[in-house]
Amino acid sequence: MKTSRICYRLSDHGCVDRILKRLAKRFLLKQKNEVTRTIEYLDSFDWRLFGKGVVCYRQGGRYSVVDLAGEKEVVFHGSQKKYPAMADFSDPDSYPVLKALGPIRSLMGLGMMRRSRLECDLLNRDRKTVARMVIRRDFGIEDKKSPDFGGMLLVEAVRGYEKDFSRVEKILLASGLGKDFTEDNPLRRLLASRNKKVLSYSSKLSFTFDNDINLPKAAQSIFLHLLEAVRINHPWVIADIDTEFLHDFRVALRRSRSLLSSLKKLLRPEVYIHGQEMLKEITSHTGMVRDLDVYMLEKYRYLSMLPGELHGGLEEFYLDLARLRKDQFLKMKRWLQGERYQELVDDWQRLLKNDLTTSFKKKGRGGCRQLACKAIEKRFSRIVGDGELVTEDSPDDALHRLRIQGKKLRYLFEFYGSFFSADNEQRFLRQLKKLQNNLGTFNDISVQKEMLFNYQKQLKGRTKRSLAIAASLGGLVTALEDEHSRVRKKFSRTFSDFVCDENRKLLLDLVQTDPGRS
Amino acid sequence: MKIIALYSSKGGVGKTAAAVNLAYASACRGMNTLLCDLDSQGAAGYYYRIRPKSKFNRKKFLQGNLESYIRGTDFRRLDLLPAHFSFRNLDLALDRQNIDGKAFRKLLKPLGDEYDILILDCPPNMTRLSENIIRAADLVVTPLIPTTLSVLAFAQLVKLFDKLEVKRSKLCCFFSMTERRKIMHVDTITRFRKKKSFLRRMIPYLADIEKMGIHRKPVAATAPRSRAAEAYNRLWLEIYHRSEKYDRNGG
Repeated sequence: MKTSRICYRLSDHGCVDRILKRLAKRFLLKQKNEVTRTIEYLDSFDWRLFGKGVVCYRQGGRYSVVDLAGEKEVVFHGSQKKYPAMADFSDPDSYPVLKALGPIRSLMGLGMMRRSRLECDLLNRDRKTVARMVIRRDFGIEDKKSPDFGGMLLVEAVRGYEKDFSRVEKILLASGLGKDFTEDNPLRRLLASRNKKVLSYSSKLSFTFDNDINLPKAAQSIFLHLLEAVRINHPWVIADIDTEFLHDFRVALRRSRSLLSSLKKLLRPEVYIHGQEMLKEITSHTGMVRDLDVYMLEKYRYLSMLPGELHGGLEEFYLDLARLRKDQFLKMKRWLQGERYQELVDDWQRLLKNDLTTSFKKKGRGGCRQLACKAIEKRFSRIVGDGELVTEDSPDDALHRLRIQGKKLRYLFEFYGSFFSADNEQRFLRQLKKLQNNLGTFNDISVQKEMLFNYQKQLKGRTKRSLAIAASLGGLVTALEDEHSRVRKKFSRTFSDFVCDENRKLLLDLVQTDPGRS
Repeated sequence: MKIIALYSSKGGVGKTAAAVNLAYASACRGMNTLLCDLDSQGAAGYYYRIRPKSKFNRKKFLQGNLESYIRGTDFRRLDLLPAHFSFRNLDLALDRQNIDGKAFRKLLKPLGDEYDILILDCPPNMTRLSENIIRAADLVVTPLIPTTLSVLAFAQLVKLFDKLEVKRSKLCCFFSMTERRKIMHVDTITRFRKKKSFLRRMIPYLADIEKMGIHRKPVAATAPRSRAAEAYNRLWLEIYHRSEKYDRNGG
């Protein structure tokens, strides 16, 4: 069903009467009652919907997802939960845009406003609707003097009446309306009234450094950015809205640890040890809950791997897991709200706020680009060396170590990417990602298999329940074993692709000849 | 896209009223619906206040590219392809151009990208056009006034199905313009209502349906709680379920 819509910005509300008068000369106007309702804008914490070019708001359980140009609007009824996730919508497949949330993110309120809406149909001589018009005005909800977030006028064509639509367009343009309205205008104004901005958070790193910046300065800004990510996610980890907050929290810590370890020989030993210990302590208190989150997210994949008869046992296993997660989460929450956590974070911040030059040895105070290139080259050589030693008989640990090396290399590019040519960097990272995906999947299955096996061993008694769980886990371990071997078989091919001559040359080009893009 | 044809060789049995109201019921249930008016009288277009585009005629219809001649109704998710006066010779043109049921279905196929339901409001005759419609439709729905002549027309239709070697399960029938006070109506309904091809829901003879000509809107748009609106809604559900069942059984 094709419809065309055009949005116009309404500068002052007084012009509405003037426009309606002009339109009334050419069309019959059928006005409906003006309705004012409170709406709430929603998006995930990392702006996944806005990133896809849409804004989402709801009024009770009625959701509207509109593209920024205001040309397409999808309306549906959904969950009234405060933080709805995709699983809370009865038929998420019908609303493709919600897929951007994935199974991991929930929607969160960005703010509320009052929206008045006046609908008016434009009719021809046969009293047939030939175009529809909506006049919308948004206000804050705080008090009577609440800010005016502006208005818009939307005209929607009725199929087959394109000429009438063009006539309406001409009349509106002659009335001095601008077509510069986009659906994010009211949202941006709402956020501005609260000193917030759209796209204010992303878990992706993007630093832009001058080519001549020294290492202590660059490291300081990276560490501070990561610490900020830890701080931003901290209250939401405790609120436990979705699993991604803890994930991002831990990734920020892991990136900090990785950066610290890449600077091991350049930092004064006491600084390095102090930093590592602090970060390790925080990470260790959050690991168990994250592992359990991963298992919880795998539930539907696991169910699909088992025949229907074994689903009952797996459901029971998941009940146990949910209980365990609840206990572990409370433990983690208590610690994250405690003095020790605060002390560690404050300590780390104090260290980072000072000039870091003195924390570095003399050889570490040089240009960042040169040192970054050296670190990347070294890490790549190490991956090549370690990977070439992996044979079909090598233990799983060898692949696990290789995975860590790959991750460290990836982080180095995330930190220092601005020194290199963006195109070449992307090409190289695509190859690295393929290797990491293979190693990551292999490691995940190893860990999952081991955990399931250990859990199976711990089962006590020969009750119906424990036997059902044991049978399900046994089936699952067997299925995972098959997958494990399949992934392992793919490793040598993936690794050869990664270390091919073209890729080696690409890396050398990146670190040796590219002038940088900053 | 499901193609549902409202067809009867007899005139004045309530085909157009049913097509207009069933299309509205379908759109109200969230389905993108197109009502295609094949009757040159253009009554469906009249009810929705839609005139055909000036360049549209029988020739253009048979050339395809129907999308450009579709017009939106006043109701969301419901569009109409209005009839043209030249449609009165549609059957002759089909014959001349040797268009069979398959080719007719092919003509409508591109509409499947946009619409879930296509309702055909057919003219009252038994011609080449009727044969093509019967072959192309997923379900042929026939309104039947519970009188002798209507029953006779229905018997002829069954015969036509057999002659065209089209499965009888594609045909369903509902009693239209029924009046309880008429003994003949009651007797005919009692005789036929349990037969397989007869739908349970009936459309009574009601003033609200006749008033559609004044309001020029489906009954449910002007009197949503009326008996007539309720009857069409229920009839739509039964027809839709019948078409689903027909699909499940592989036609």
